[in-house]
Amino acid sequence: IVDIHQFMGNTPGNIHYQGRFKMSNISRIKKVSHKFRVMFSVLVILIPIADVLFWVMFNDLPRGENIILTEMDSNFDLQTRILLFAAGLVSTGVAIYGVLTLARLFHLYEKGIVFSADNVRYYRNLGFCIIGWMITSFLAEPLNSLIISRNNPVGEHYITVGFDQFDLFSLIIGSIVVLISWVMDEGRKLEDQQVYTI
Amino acid sequence: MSIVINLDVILAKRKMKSIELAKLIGITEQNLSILKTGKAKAIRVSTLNAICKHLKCQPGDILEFQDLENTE
Repeated sequence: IVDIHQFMGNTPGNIHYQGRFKMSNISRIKKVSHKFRVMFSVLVILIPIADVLFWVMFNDLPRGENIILTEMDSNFDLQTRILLFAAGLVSTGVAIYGVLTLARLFHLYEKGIVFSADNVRYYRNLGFCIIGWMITSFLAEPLNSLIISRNNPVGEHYITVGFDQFDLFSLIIGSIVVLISWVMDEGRKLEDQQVYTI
Repeated sequence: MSIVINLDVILAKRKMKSIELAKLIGITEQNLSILKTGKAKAIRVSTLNAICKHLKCQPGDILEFQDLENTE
């Protein structure tokens, strides 16, 4: 057990507490956060690549009821796949931004910064990102159905709109993360006060 | 903040350096600097106790209230 207060800098946001604090906890947070930061940084690059590859290889992907990726039986021509890719760009962009925010958040944890204004901002952005991803995905669905049915005979075009449990789950989780950002902001104020209490 | 901490004056009178006082009272030099430069938002009674003990002074010797709002 080490008295952190004596040798850690009093920069607001740094992990330090009054009295005794187990050094191993900080090391653990930094170590695990480093792994998460690397993982999310890689995902930022992988997600757009995977998105492109998905539509390029769509017709060759395995099909079936239990395969999440491709529930549809049809093959799509190149133009349709390009349009579907474009329709999904906004929600993919939101997802990439969310993952990037996570990478930045864990980068702060990696440096031992827990209650800074940046932490609060990343949590808030992440919450809105989750909600935004749900909304953009919801809006993309009718667009996708229009694209898929655009070449159908007259009278057989369709629009689908859906709101399933996954969308509801995303909405709830996003709201909770925004709430967490408010709690973190209170933590930031307490931390800030404590840093300047001698 | 209207409470001014006049540590520099007392340190000069006692011919003591900041780093010495910081070691004696058990805080970092950085924290002492926060006190001296008026950035502190609060001071613990234990810290004030230690400062007065080692500088052989009263709290009133280092703490001064300045009504900045009315003087402006």
